[in-house]
Parts: sequence; structure tokens; C-alpha cells
Amino acid sequence: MSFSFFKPSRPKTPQEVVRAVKDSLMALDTKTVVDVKALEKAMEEVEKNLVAVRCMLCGDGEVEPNIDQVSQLVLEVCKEDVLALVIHKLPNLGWEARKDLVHCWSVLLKQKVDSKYCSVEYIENHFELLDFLVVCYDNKEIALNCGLMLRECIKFPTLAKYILESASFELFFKFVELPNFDVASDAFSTFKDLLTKHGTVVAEYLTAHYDEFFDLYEKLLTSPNYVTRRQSLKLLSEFLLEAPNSHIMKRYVLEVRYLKVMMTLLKDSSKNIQISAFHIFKVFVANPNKPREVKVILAKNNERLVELLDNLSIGKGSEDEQFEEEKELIIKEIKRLSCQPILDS
Amino acid sequence: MAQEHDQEPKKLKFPLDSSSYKILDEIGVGVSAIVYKAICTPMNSTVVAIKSIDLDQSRADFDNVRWEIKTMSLLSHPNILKAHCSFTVGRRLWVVMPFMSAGSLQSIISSSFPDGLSEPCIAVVLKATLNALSYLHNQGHLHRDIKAGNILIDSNGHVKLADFGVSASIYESNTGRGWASSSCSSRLMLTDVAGTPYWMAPEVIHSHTGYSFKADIWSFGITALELAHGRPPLSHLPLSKSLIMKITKRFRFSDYEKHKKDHGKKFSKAFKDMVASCLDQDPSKRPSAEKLLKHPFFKNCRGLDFLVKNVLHGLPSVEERFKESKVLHGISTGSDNGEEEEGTEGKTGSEIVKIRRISGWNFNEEGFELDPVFPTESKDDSIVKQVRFGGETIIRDRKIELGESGDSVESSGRSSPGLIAEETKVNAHGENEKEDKGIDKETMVGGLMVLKKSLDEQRQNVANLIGMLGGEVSGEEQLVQVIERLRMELESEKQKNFDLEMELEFNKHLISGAYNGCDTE
Repeated sequence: MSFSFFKPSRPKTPQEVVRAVKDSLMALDTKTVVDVKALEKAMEEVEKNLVAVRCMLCGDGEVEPNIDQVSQLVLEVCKEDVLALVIHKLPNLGWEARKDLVHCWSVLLKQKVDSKYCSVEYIENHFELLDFLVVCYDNKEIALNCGLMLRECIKFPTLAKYILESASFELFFKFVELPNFDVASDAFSTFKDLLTKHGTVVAEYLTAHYDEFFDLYEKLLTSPNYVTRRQSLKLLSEFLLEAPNSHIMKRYVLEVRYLKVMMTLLKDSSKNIQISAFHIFKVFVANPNKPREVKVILAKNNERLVELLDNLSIGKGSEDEQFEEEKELIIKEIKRLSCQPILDS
Repeated sequence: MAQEHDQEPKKLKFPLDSSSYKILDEIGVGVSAIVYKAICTPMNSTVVAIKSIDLDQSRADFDNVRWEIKTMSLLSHPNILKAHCSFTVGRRLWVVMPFMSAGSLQSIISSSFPDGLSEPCIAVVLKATLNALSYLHNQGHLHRDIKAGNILIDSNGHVKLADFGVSASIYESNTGRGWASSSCSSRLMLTDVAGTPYWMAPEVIHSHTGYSFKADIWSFGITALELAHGRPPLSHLPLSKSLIMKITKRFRFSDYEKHKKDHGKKFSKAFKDMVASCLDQDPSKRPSAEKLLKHPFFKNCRGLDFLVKNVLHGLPSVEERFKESKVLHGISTGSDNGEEEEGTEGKTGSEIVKIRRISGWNFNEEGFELDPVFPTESKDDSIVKQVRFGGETIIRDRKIELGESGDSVESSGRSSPGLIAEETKVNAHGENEKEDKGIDKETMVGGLMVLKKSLDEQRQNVANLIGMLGGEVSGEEQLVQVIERLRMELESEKQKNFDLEMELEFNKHLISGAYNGCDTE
């Protein structure tokens, strides 16, 4: 990589660097329509300027970045609306320019000036940028770049909260099943981060949107796509069993509808899925305050369930013992229920 | 968007459903993956390779698989194999890739160049590999699994690095003439994963603080030897022995030395020098990929046609090679090249030496490999260096033994790897059954514990012998021991310090932005 080509004789100030990026990005618009040559030139210009930003933010491998300059650069980027500009121009950029941009993005977000995250504040005032990034999952060319940028944003609770509560969040239920595996699994990583990174934010969200969320989530759990089923089931146990979500979990295990979902998954042809399902199913059974409907279902299906559980085993491994113990308890409980009289009536 | 042809000129949209592909042949098998040659019917029957990974076999999560796919998607370099697309088919993940018609260098070598390639050919291959590595490292990625089995060639001589960071190796034939079968004549499970540890840098095997780009450079050096000799160094030894040898810093260095002049292949000074620099025990002294590219060895490097003419010409097809290897494998594991002797897996040092003679291997190789390791160091120094690897206690014991009583103890020390290897193999085998990830910590710890125990026993024996012979330890000797011990402690402190420095360096790296993989998760 020959950054040195572009090294200007006199070092530019942060203001100049930002100015140059801004101008070159703006130029993309007008020149795009003119002709191919001009466009190429304009793209080169953007790339060169992004490399300059990157060098200022991260150093060039030899020279360490100058803290003052970095601070100035961050302030300038926010002041000049370059943060918004780069996102909107992302689809028009070339391969390397996008990668440089993604790299700068993560540094810009993390940069504190006077103990404030300026870039994060900027995004808080322009939340629509996050919506724009989410929608980018539909564009295969830039999906992975946007995914990386989104996950950088999600590290900050305010930004994660916005996405969870925005209309864009629903799109993830679609994105995680996109046919392109790389895009779909990147979308899933982001989805997972949204639901696991900030416990209290997630708990608030789930409390307020319980029904709509689990409605959508049920579709993932019952998807014909193996990967979707397996990943969503695993993720469910990850966030449902988190401490801040305990009231959500208590509510969840009262619902016959979701019990049925878990029972279906217990019968899945994949053993991995069966085992993950068991870890949620067991909470339904172990719950001391089982509603009558749950008891009825368990009792009615007790033979089939016991048989299923009997055949279920992890195989070798250290968790094995604990798993078997739990299984025994659950089987016992199911058998106990089946002998109880409450079922009639 | 007009930009689409900007960086990736021939971006074709490969279909995302299995019905668009017609599978022609199996060309590779791994623990949880199969590689097929196939054609994509809607795209003019373009030939592709499809790696079909059984996702249900990876128990933990598919984080690995996801990581590999994503890594591949975000890289773009002429010497890196990039997937056309990937999608799921039931429980399997299909990764559709360009078909590299000549297959991996490992399979080329094992089918047609058992004694290795010529230097000019090696230069072409290695240069391309370095270009890929240099790009990867610039992007903040480590490959972690550089070896001939992961370097692929197409019919035009284009060289591409494949397989990022995980699981079953694409195109890696498990023929393993010799080295794979020797390590696991009775344990087929190992064949699939056996390859990798031979290429592992010492710090990868031992370090608690992690490792960096320089680990790839080590593996690159080993790969150079693999191309030169037809197999990686030490690979005539069973897997676990090779590992133990690395930990213990190759007790038998002197043996190699003896045979050095006997056998044959001559290598240029430039080549030896290049490899030597990669195999420096100290990662910080190994050159970067970028720097290596400027090494004289790569000057006047030939073009791709040279490779086509000298290597690819007359080569059996990937499919044929795969079939042949399967047949060979099916009949007997150790029947080729009179290497069945390796099945005996020496129990003692002398036996090992014998086996090496029988198997007709080029000992020069070992000298060649080890030259860079201790060229200027006295024997003592090389032992001192052990501190870096094992736990301190092991080292101290070892040092005292060797330092004190010289040859006799050294030879008794020599017998230990045999014993240990037996133990470790069992461990390694068990581990590998569970997880196709090469050697893990547990195995290593297991091996090390056994080693420690055996060393302790030997130390006791030596002490007994000394006692029996009435050779009481004099005051002076005791003093020497104390000094030695202190020296060892100092050495180990130095190492800790060094490790910390490395970590710091690595963190700096992270911050300073050479680290581009913003999403390591």
C-alpha cells in the first residue's frame, strides 16, 4: 500500500483534510452523470482523501496519530456534516474507499472530545442515519460494510435503543433469512448485538413491545430454514435467561403457544436444535407457577415427551452430567403432572 | 451504479440455489466438509468448486463458519481465493468458489513431486503467497493456517491462498503420502487435522499472551520447506512428537547435524537465508510479509507460465488425484515408499533415528530447518531458550540435568519424547474426535504434564545415580546450581516482560489502525 504517493509536502490541517473529503464526496454527485473518466477521477480523489483522514486518525504505521489533531478532526467532521455525507455516499464509493471509511467510522465514534462522544451525539441528532444503515442490508454490495458500521453504533446504548424501537428493527427479521449467507449471517450478528449488548435497554424494549416482538420471533423459531431455527433458538435462550429479562422470561413461560413451539423444536431433526430447545423447554416445566393450560399440555403429551427426552443426550462432555440431571428432573415433573387430577374438568 | 465495475470488474451474480449447480465429482473431504467440482448450469456451465459444510456438526455455534465467510467476503486480492457466493442447503452450507483446476500444492507435491519443487518454482508460488499475506496483514487479518494444502493453483498458474481461519481445508487431500499416514496409521480421525501443527509457530503453541502476524511468517517459512522437500519438517515423526519436540526445542539437533552433509538437495544461499529469517524463534525478529517480498530470493522471479510448464504440465487432474488418494488410503496407510517402518513409531531415541534412515528422508532438510534456530548459539543457550515454552518448573529441572551431566543425561532425556508422545497421542486423538480444530489447550497441557512428570522422574534418577556413585554434590556445584536457577528465573522474567511488550505492541497495533477487522467479535 503506497500511502506515501499521496503524502502532501506540507501536512494538512484537520480542517483542510475534512474540507477535502467533503468537497470530493460532493463532487461525486455532479460528475457521476458527466462521463466515466471524470467519475473515475472523482472516485480516486475521494479515496485519496479518505486515506488522509485515516492516516490522521490512526497514524500511518510509522507515525502515531496526534491527539490534538484527532480531536479537531472529529469536531470538524461533525460540524461539517461529513458524518451524514459519508453514509449517504457509501453506496457510490469504491471497494477500498468503503473499507477505509468503515475503519475511520469506528475510530470517529469512539473518540471523546472534552469527555463527550461528539460523533455519537451527532448521530443522536440525526437518527435517520441509523435507519439508512439498516436498510443497506438490502444492498448486497455494501451490506457487510454497513453491518460493521452498525455494530460500532450499537456499542452505544442510546443508539442501540433507537434502532430497537425504530420501525427499522422489524427489517432484521427479514434480513436474517436473506439467501446470501454472508449477508444474512452478518445481519444476524447485528441482531444479536442489539438483543444482548445492553441488558437494561433490551429489557425496557421487550417489556414495552412484548407481543409484537415475540410474534415476530416465533416466525424465526418455526422457519423452514435450518440456520434460522438454530440461531434464533440459541439467541432466545441467551437473552431470555439474562437477569434483566427475568420478568420477560416468567411471562414467556406462561404461554402455551410458545410451549408448543418448544415442543415442536424438541422434535426437530437436528440434535443441536433439540438440545437448545430443551434448555428453554425445561423452564416451562420447572416453573412452579405453571398455568393450568401448560399443565394440561404437558400431561396430555407426557408419554411422547418422556420418550423424546429419554432419547436426548449430549453425548460426551462435561456438561453432560448436568444435562442428564436436569433431564431427570424434568421427566419426573412431567410424570408427576400426568398423575394429577386437575386435567379433567 | 456505475461503480460496480470499479474494483471488481467481473462480478458475476452466481445463483443462490442448489438446483442451479450440477455436481460432477468429489475432490476433497474434511471432517465436516466435502469439496465438489461442479458446474453452474445457468452461467454457461462455468466450472466451480463447492465446499459443502455440514453445519449440524459444529456443535457450539457457527461463529467460525460465519467468520470465515465474512472474512472472505471483505477481502479482495488477486492471490486470495474469494467465494462467488454462499447459501444454505438444508443443514449444509454451500460455499461456491472458483475452481482451481490444479488443486493444492500439497496434493501436487504428493502426487508428482515427492522430493519437492525446484527453487524457481518455489519462488513463484511463495511470492504470490507473500502478496496475499501482505495484503491480509495490511487489512488486519491473520491467516493462521498457511501451508501448501491451502495454496491453490488454477490451470493458468494463478496462485491463490485459501481457507480462512478454520475448519476443514479446502482441496486438502488426505492422501498424506507418508506424513499424514505415519502420524496416524491406526487413527484415521487424525489425518484430517494432522497437517496443521507442523506449521505452527512456537508462540502459537505456547503463548498465553497470543500471537500476531509473525506467526503466519513462521508458517510461511515451514511452507517453504514443505515445498522444497515435499513435506513439512519433522513430519516423519508422529504429530504429537513433533509438537513435543517443538516444546522441548528439538533435543536431537545434534543428530540432524551429523546427517547434514550426507544427502542431497542443494539450495541457494538466498533461499536458505529467506527461510531462516522466517523461522526465527523470536517473532519480532521475523520480517514482515512486505519486507520478505523485497528479499533477494524473489528477485528475477519467473512468471506464471514457468509454473505451468514445470509443474502443471502432465499433472493428473484434481479429481484423479483425489480418487487415487482414496484408493491408496483404503488399501493401506503405510504401504508407499517403504515407509511402513514409520508405523513402528520408535519408543526410544535410537529407534527414531533408525526409522528416519529407513524412510530415506533427506536429513539435510532438518539441518536446513534448524540452522536458523541456533546457528550462533551454544548448546546451552538453546536449552535456556526452553524457558519460553514450557512452565518454569519443567525448564529448571531440565536445565539442571542437562547442564550438570552432559551427554549421558541428554540421551536419557532423549527417550522421553517417545514415551510422552504415546500419551499425548491418545489425548490428541480424543480431542480431535470432538472438535476438528487441531490441537487445543487441554491436549497441550496434558502433554506438558506428562513431560513434566517424566522429567521429574529422570531428575530423580540422575540424583540417585549421583548418590550411588558416591559423587556428592560439592558446595561449589551447589552454588553453580543456585546460579543456574537464578539465571533461569531471570530468563523467565525476561520472557514475561517480552510477552507483555508483545501484548502492548499488539494493543498499539489495534489502536493505531493497522487493525482493520473492526468486527472480530
